[in-house]
Amino acid sequence: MYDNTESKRPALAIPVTVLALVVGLLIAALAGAATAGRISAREKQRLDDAISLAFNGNDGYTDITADCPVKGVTAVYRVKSGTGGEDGLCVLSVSSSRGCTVKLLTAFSHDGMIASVHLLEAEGTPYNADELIEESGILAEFGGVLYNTAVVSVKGINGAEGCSTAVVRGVNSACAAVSCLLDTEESSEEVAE
Amino acid sequence: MSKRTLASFITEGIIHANPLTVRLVGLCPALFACATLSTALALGVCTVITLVVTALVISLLNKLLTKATGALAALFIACGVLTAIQLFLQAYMPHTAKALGVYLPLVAVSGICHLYCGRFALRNSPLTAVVNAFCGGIGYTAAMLAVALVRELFGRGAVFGAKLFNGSVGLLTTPAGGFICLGLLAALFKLISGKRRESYDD
Repeated sequence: MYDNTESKRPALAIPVTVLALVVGLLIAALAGAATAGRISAREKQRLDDAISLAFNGNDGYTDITADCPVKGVTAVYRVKSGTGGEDGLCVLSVSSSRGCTVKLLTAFSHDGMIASVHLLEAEGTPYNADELIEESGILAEFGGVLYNTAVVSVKGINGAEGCSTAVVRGVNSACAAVSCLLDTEESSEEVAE
Repeated sequence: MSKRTLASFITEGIIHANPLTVRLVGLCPALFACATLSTALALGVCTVITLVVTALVISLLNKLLTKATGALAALFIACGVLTAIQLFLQAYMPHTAKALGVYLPLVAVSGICHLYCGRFALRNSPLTAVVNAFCGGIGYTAAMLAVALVRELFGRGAVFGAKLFNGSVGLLTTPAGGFICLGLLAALFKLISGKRRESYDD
């Protein structure tokens, strides 16, 4: 009967355990390298789809995140209009409250009015936060709001109050980023004149 | 497998010493995944792969490991394997990865991994350890599927997401409903396995 109740070479136990750690890390690293390209391509596709949803028929977008870094805002894009109209802005933000984390895409028209808010991801509690947010209609409440009007309260989501607060924080972060961008642009124009 | 036959591993893993309903290990990820059949199946497959790979590696190294370091080594290997599985799910099956969320990595630190890889594989040959881990994983998956079937069918009126009828018991979709279903299933298994469990504990 094969029964190894204790190591035959106890002196090697710790080095072998360290080896197990290295093997575990190696497995994870190899998987990371094998899937990195696919995951980043998927992320890019998701962003393209989200921006297309906000600005149908757009003619591409440029990353202007570095122009105005704002806490809670992960990316800002200037979206070129495909129909010859004014360009728009798309702001990606991440915010959380009481265990509910939401990733939002807020679309602004050229004059800083919120065109639409889209939920990209919801994590944490409750487990079906994304369904509750979509069904509540909270995202539609922000349409038509100007960037310089801080939103402080909306109709809360029943069973996911933390998510309501997280959504409001996310939209306010997006408004802060747009405010900063438009103010900077105005100042530049004044200097140029 | 000099003393035990393949049939004994199968009956032990699935019925008499089922990890979920008799030994009550790996409850946290299982209770979450048991809400629907698709998540239960996905978590079950991931658990089987993790247990088999980890048990194989640990049983190959078991002459060099002690009881204490064996458990730690099993944890490291299981973490690596589960991270790899999660990355592949994110790349190729994003909806499944999102559905399992944080509960998939939890398998590595749950009792099921310690039981089959940190304890059993440390004292047995690679073949025995792999067969035992596979049967245990299948038993875990089968128990999750049984609970998930009850919860999805009567809680949502659906099977694998396909709506069959309206009118359902809302309680079954909640974690409390999961505990009740699992408790009833555990009682049924206890009735079947009864006193035989003692002989399989090691």
